[in-house]
Amino acid sequence: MGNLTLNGATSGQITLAPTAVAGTNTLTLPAATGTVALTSSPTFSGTVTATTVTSPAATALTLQSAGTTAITVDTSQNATFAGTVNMSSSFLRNRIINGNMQVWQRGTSATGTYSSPTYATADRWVYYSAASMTTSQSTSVPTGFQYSLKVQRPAAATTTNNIYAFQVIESVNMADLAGQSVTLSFWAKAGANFSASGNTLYVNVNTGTVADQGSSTGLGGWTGVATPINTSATLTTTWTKYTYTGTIASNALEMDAVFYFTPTGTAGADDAVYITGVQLEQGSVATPFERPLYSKQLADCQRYFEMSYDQGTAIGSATSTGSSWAFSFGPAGFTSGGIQTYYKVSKRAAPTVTTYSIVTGASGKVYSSANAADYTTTINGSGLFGFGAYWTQASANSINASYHWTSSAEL
Amino acid sequence: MYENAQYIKNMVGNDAMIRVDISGVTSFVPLDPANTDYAAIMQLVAEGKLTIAEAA
Repeated sequence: MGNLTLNGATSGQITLAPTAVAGTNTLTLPAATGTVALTSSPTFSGTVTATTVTSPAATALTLQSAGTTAITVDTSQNATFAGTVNMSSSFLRNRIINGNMQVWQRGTSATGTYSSPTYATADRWVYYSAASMTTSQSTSVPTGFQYSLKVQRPAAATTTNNIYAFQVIESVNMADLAGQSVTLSFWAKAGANFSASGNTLYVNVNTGTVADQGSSTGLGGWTGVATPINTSATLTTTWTKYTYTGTIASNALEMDAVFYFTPTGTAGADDAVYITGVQLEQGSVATPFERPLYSKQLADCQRYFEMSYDQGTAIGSATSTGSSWAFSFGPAGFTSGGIQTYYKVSKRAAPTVTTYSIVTGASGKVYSSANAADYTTTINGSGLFGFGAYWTQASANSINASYHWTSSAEL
Repeated sequence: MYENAQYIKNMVGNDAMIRVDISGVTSFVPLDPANTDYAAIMQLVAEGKLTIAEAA
């Protein structure tokens, strides 16, 4: 038997065509009047090809496997999975730390000429420019964010050197991306006086073939450098999400994400770019920003930089709050003392350590209350979990001394 | 950026750190190639742009 064709009143028709192989196919129409739709439960074994699967109004959509509901999408578009969701990448997708600019241990504003890459404000973000630049915390943000990073040329400046903000990703956090597609996404906007020609923000993802060569040799100086994402965004004064995809070299062992612009003319008050929600993830799709808890993100940042000052207290401030303290009292004269400090988070590598007087804020010093004077500290050893410091002081009948400290194991 | 570098011995008499002013801030850098300050200092030494004084 050949095809059965039902002609409609005008030009439409339905054709029922049997398969060309042996066997029987049964099409059972639901016992219903009016509009025919698959509202009952016809049993079908085979492949359904469709562009849209739609449930009737006020009805959830369910997908079953082995006769059991596997996925339910309710009428508010919330999906419930009965089993495990197995993704091609993990839930911890974002390789950028502090991409939403929540952690500012070193301070919320700084201006300097960073002729070598310098960490100054938002944690994990490093800055570079041969001319003066300012970075600061801004509350101008797109919906869903609290802070953005404002990177600007100071008002009235006439220098036109490139201004960079970038983040170097530790090798252990990116090595699995070698040979993979990655997507960089971020929110950005131009300041009211952004002077870059064409409102251009350059966007790079660089890789190298030697692990953790660091920021000082970044920006093109890495061994085997490649730039899988080498593009630019045309900013407006409205927050916009930008997304770029590239493929990482199969031998990549280090990676950074770089933003920079070239200012022109004389800077106005807001010759700046604002950036937040930076995410670099495996795959060719930019998923929604992965939002870490503040405490988790602070700990992630402290793998690279930690300090004894409370968050929000400027480094070098005259305060004893949170400082490391040594105390001992006796009848004999004390002429030296020492303190062992342990970190809350173990460091990426043995860190550079600085002590600060709690009274004068001088670096390389400890303040002795017994002598009312600063003395020079010596660090006995710097390890992943802490350091020891000691000093020699004028003879006193007590050790009563404190210092603040910072430890940096940044890349 | 790096000035006034000098080796510092630990309590048992071995060179363990470099005391150096980094942008004017007196700091202690461990002798660890994974420390980027140490790597930068040794690069400057190799280029003849910085000398590290012996420990006192």
